[in-house]
Amino acid sequence: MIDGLGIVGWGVGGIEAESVMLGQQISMVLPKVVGYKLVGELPSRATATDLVLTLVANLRKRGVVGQFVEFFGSGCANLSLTDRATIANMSPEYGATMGYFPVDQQSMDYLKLIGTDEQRMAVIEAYLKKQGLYRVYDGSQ
Amino acid sequence: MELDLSTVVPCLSGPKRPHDYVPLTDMQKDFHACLANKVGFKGFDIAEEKRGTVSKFTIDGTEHELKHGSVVIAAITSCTNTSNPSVMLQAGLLAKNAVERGLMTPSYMKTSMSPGSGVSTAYMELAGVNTYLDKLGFTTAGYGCMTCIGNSGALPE
Repeated sequence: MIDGLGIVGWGVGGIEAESVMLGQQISMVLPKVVGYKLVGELPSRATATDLVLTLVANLRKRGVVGQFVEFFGSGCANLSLTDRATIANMSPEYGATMGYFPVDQQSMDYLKLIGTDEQRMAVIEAYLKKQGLYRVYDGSQ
Repeated sequence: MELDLSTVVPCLSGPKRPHDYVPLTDMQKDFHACLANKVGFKGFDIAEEKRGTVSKFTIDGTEHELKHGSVVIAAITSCTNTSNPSVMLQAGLLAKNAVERGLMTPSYMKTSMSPGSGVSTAYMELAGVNTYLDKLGFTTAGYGCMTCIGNSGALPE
């Protein structure tokens, strides 16, 4: 779910979690990243659930088990943070390790909504822009 | 991979796996096909003469009929989808319209509401839709994993 907010996170097995808690390192092979381009806008009669079930069917057909899925394209700008979270949280249903949405203006609006202080928000935005992780959907990128 | 969001239509998945996509408009046809198909992800292998079987039973003094396709569990569940305010409020508004038109869930149907967290309850109450959901039997039973992972509890005998 956190991946909908531009944070890279995924579930690990019990034995891996235990190792980390005991101060051990765990290693993993960098997963393949599959890009999923979204364009357009959801029709008013379609819900986030309709969208995620459509994506699940398409991604299962493609096969993304053990891989990262990154959503991109101008359609992302039209999805609310909660809709992105719904899609990110259903990664087990499509089999991916995670379903990631980059941070954009909508993500910043959400941080504001949940009461993040302005200075912290400015730091987040500046950092992500410097790192090339802040997405603008106006075609300039 | 690419998807034009404007092409998304109301849909369901199943009858057994979340990626067995069925557009809502094809649901009836798909369900009848699944009854006939051999046992598998998309089949139950019900003999043709048994697909229309109707069983009568009495619960709380009322007689009901049970047949293939009868809904016996209706749950607002799955932490993913119950954490999405827009789909939850749509469920609440649907419940409001149903109650206002005098519709009711049948007494044999096991209804429940199990959101991922208490936040859902808070905004459903703020929006004033929880009373309608309560009337239809979708009272919050608890938070977290429940019917969507098979923890619905027993059905009436």
